[in-house]
Amino acid sequence: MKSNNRTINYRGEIRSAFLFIFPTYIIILIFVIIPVIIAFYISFNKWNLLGHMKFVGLLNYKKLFHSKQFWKALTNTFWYSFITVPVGIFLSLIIALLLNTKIRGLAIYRAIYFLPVMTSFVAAAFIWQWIFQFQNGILNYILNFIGIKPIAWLNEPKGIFTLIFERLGINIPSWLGGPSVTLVSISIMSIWKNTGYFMIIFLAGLQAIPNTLYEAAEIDGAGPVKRFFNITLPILSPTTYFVTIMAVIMSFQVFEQVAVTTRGGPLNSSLVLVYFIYQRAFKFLEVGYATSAAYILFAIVLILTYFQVKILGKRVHY
Amino acid sequence: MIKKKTKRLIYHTILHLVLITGATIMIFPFLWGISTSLKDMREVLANPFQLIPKQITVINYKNVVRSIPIVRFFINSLIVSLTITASQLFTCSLSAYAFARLKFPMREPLFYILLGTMMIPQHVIMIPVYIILNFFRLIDTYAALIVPFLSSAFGTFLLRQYFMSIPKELEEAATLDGCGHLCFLFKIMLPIAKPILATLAIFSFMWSWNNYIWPLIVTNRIEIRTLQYGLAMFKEEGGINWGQLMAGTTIATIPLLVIFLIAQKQFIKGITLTGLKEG
Repeated sequence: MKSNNRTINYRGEIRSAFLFIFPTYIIILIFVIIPVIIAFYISFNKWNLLGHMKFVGLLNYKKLFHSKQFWKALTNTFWYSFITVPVGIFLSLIIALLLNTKIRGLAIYRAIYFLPVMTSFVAAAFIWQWIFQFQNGILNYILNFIGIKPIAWLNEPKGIFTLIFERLGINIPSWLGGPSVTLVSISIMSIWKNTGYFMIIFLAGLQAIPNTLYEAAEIDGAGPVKRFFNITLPILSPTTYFVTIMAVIMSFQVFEQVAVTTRGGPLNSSLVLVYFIYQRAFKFLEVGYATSAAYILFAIVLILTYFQVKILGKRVHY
Repeated sequence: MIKKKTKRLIYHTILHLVLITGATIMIFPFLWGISTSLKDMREVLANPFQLIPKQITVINYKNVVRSIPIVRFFINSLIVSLTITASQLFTCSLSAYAFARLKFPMREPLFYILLGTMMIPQHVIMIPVYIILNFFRLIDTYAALIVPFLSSAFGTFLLRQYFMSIPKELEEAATLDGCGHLCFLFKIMLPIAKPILATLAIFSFMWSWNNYIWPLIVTNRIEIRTLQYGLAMFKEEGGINWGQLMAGTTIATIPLLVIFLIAQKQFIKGITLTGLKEG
């Protein structure tokens, strides 16, 4: 009798479970899983969205491989990631550490640092475009104050190092030029925008560290530096791990900042992968070609995440 | 004793100085944006760096309302974001509860597939999703803006982590009282889970309110465009009129600030409590 009752219960549980996951699964299935499969197929076709699809095998991928614009977009995206991820993580960790003390006005500070996260990229891009203006921009105004000639922040295809050395009167070879000034400006804007997000996650990780650990260490005579490296950093490692993976994924998906301000220009100096994909698909209607570029983006994100899991995962202490 | 107190005082002063400097950098662009939105065209050009306008004017706001259908955009954004947020809270609660608490065949694989979809960049699938919506003749409708986001893997994951941490004994007590799964979820789990629901609400509202690329792709008619797209359009058509642009930006940002301020306490608590920090 009792076991019979349990079977009925279990069957009821299965039914409830499938009913419960149904809405979520149907949405994810139709709008994520099936599209990924369709995208894979489209990437082997030539298609302009309206006419018939034509199977072309690996042609799209070959074309990408030989496209100068695509390589430019790829290098720019890597540069962007290379700038924004380390700087962003470093800054957000510092701010989180500073905010993890019992000081007055904590909630206000926290809210202010989180403010840029809440703003849309479109709004943020407008505000920063205004700051970055060549004439009448506040940044150039400040530079002028300390005796530096104005910089065309969002309209300068020259490499950042080229510009710096040029100002010092030295010409350096173009391959040493570094990312374009425009791309660096966009990176600055993104760092400002995203730091608060990572800060909040770090703060959560820090608050999970029991105070008793610090007290014990203090009794043992460990100074603040020692405490940071021997307690905070190891215990925080799962958080750092999560933040790093998120930051890399986010950096490869950069789009809005570019779409609203420079549209990839000048001279493709701020062209990034997603903007390249968007342009190809919805401006030039080269849907197959764009989709193959999207798949390459996907592959890069997967490979990078895999290596991070492999390499960083080992250093995480749970 | 006194020495320690002075040391603390010095330390706190330095800390505040550093934090205030950082906070200034964070908030300064906003203040400047708002200040510019309150200046008339002449003053924007004449005193671009004057933080407090000599003469405060709302002319830019009036012009924005007159030159683009910003009220319409605002309402559209509100409809889209609120529907998505409400729906995600509901659907993700259900699925998260099933994955956290119920036993059923294929539970683990189904969960890991869901988790795996979080890795897929939105931009990889936007073209096929467009095609699917086009197939159902939904392009250029509210449905195109809303339906793909009615639920999310992220939300499911977030809530599941939290539900897992609620003690099982609660459930047993409730079952004895003759409370089914649905009843248990809504009467007991969700009230406890308030902070994490606030977190999900803020994230999904923020995400849909700020989404730019999706409305850009699936809408053509001006009447159903959302605020972010409308703002960008405003810039294209009108050249750059900084005062008006900043007025529009301010209007677009205010709802998020209000929501954040209301839910801040729960939100911070929610993030601290969940596995968000542990991936």
